[in-house]
Amino acid sequence: MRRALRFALFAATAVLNACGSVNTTYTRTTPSATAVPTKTQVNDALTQIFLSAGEVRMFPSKGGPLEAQVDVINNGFSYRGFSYRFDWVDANGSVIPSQVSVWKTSNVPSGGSTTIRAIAPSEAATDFRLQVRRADQ
Amino acid sequence: MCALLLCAGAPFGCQQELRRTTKQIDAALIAGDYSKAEAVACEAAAKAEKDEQDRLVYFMAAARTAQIAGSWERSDLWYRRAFDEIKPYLDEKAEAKVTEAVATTVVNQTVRIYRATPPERIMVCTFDSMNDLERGDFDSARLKLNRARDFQMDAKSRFQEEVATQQASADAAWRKQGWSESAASGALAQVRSRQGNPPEQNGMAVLPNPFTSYLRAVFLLSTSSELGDRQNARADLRAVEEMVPGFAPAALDIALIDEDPAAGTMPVTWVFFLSGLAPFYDEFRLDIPIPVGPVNYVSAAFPVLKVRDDALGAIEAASADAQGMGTTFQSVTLADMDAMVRAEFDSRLPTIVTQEIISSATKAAATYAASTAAAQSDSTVGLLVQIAGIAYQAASTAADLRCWGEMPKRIDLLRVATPETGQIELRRSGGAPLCSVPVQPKSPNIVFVTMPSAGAPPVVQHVPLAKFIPPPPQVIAAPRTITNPEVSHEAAPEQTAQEP
Amino acid sequence: MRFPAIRSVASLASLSIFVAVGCGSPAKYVETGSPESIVSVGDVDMQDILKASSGMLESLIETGILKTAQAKPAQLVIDKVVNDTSSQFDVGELLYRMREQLVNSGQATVITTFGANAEDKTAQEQLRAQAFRQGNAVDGMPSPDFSLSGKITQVKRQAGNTQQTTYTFRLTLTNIRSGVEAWTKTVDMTKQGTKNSVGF
Repeated sequence: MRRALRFALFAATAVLNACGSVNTTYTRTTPSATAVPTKTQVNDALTQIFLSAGEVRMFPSKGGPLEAQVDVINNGFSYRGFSYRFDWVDANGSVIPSQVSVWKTSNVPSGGSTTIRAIAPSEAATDFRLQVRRADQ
Repeated sequence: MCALLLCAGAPFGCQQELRRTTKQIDAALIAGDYSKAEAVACEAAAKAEKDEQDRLVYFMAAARTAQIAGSWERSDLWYRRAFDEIKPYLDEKAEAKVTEAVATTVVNQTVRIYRATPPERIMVCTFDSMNDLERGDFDSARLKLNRARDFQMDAKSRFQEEVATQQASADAAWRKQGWSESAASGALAQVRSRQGNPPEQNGMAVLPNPFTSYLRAVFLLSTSSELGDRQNARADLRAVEEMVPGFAPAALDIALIDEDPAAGTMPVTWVFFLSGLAPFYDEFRLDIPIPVGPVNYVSAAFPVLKVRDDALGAIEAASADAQGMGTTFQSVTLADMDAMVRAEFDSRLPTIVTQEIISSATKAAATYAASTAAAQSDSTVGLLVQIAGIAYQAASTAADLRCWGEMPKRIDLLRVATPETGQIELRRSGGAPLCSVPVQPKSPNIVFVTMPSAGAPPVVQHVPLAKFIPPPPQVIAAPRTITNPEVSHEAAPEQTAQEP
Repeated sequence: MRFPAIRSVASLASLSIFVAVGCGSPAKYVETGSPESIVSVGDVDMQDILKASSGMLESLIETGILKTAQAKPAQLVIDKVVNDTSSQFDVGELLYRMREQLVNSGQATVITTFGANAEDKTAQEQLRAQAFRQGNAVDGMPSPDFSLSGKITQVKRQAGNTQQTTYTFRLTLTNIRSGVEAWTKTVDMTKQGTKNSVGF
């Protein structure tokens, strides 16, 4: 029974690999120094497309304003396209309107991850909100 | 029944209005009456706005005739309309439609929506850029030349594949009928013979237009010092060398790019001579040996290409400079539009012949079947159906003769050092004076000379390329030494006489 | 017997036309640049411009290059941005979005009265006349820190019926005092689409 299960797992892995999935290797086992705790709300659409947020980092960029980085992981079996948008908020929690906050697109292969990043429009920004949507592309 | 007979008697998709208008336009152009040509073409184009089938032909004719007549705004408008028609075929719309294939079988090829051939699409954008160049709107000219490049790439990568697909589909329809293949190949041979095709000119076309590539190269190298633009110009000139092997001016301009003079400083004038009118189509009726009922032949109509010979050959210019005194420069053929149109048409000809025969035979078979069925109940009705069918066949047998005949027959290039006098005297081959062209001394110039026939007056469009190049921003707070724009540059290329 | 049949066919035809008309979607608003926007392979779309301007702004802010300017806030002059694509659009759509962000957030000012291609010729003339009257022809004129220039290019490729276009937006900031390139950024947009060989 166990041999059969092992074989099934091996076969499934082989099929996934043949479909263009990727193997991802991480050397870091602990959160990075700039990692921040996050409150994540995953909507139904996101769950359906097997995308999840990994580590979230936030740190001041060379120019001063904050930079945010989010690792997006594809736990699904197929190549996924998604749209995302960072909105920056000030210390009072108000959204800072800016031309920087626009919908962008990215793709992530099955089993792989990608890092999406954004730079705050000014030093007044202290936090961000991230929206992710499925993109059929 | 009377209505059926009446309908059958009326011509179906015979392009009569289009053929009449085209003849008028071409006759006016050949006679040198450019305003009349423009008036006829623009009026017809305005009327054809809602005629989805043929309007593109009208738009192209109106755009080019208005351009020759010097009505740039009108010409722009019609080129824009023509571009709107052809653009979807670049990346959205399919070139062939199932519903249209059915319609062409039932009627004839003239009911197809005219989409322009690859050489025509390229020329719509290239001619359009000429208006912008003359106005000094270099940003817009760049855009139009890039569009022409898109259509060049499209022609290269897709046209042959599409022709092959359409031919395969027509062949499959032919085999389904069980007709002898010799009927189609025999008809094709007869059409080619009627056309006077030399056998070596049959086959697949090479469609990118060297005129477009050369114009873009000259535009980029004269108006921009940016590295990317210079290299694009070089790539275009290399492409011209491949399209027209041994084309000497291209080598001179490549050398000019490698010398890297600043934009607007090279004292070279490129005279593009657009001579004559492109080929047109004539109708050729032929009986094809396919038995339908008691009749052993079906009648079909095919387009045959007719080349126009009324065009001036090469032109000459005498150098007025001390450096080249006494030297006569002769233009060399850059783009043979006749050959391009012929090659494109010949690529499609086997498909046209096959489709036309299928259409004619299908109509004949339908008439025979209907009249036989009707005759079984009433011999008079059977006879009437047969007469109506024959009348319909006669009325709907017509070849598709649509094309853009207002393109030039050939385009020559005369590359000369810009004379200090600011005038270039152009002559006919042999020395008879043609016209005097003003140019901007010590700088690059493009000149377009159009002559729709050997006897028509030349139309000159002059583009002083240095005039519109904006000077770089000057720092007022920290003044720099201002370079004297009148200082002559030693990077002027040496002009050599070229063989005709 | 034949007439009811014809009537029912006619009714069915009318019904299908009605249904077809009823199925047409009404015009609606979509968020500018959102994933619902129309994507065209052969043209620069508004969402491409938005993404490009956002990418450019992020890079400008991230590097902090504007903070190195002599003037506070940095003074910019907009030079030529060449549209080297075959798509008709106004490069101002890109530049004005960037200007809006930089100027309104106080990170830079844009001089519109500078050079031979000044955006505001009237203001430039006024400024010149005023400076001349005050005998201060040089110092009275604006002195920008940076000049912004760029180019938008395209690479189109086809494989069978699949078409791909990459639009590259390139911008460069040149330090006018030193003549040295201070910042440069490229933002790529690649779009793919398929065109049918045969339609209906």
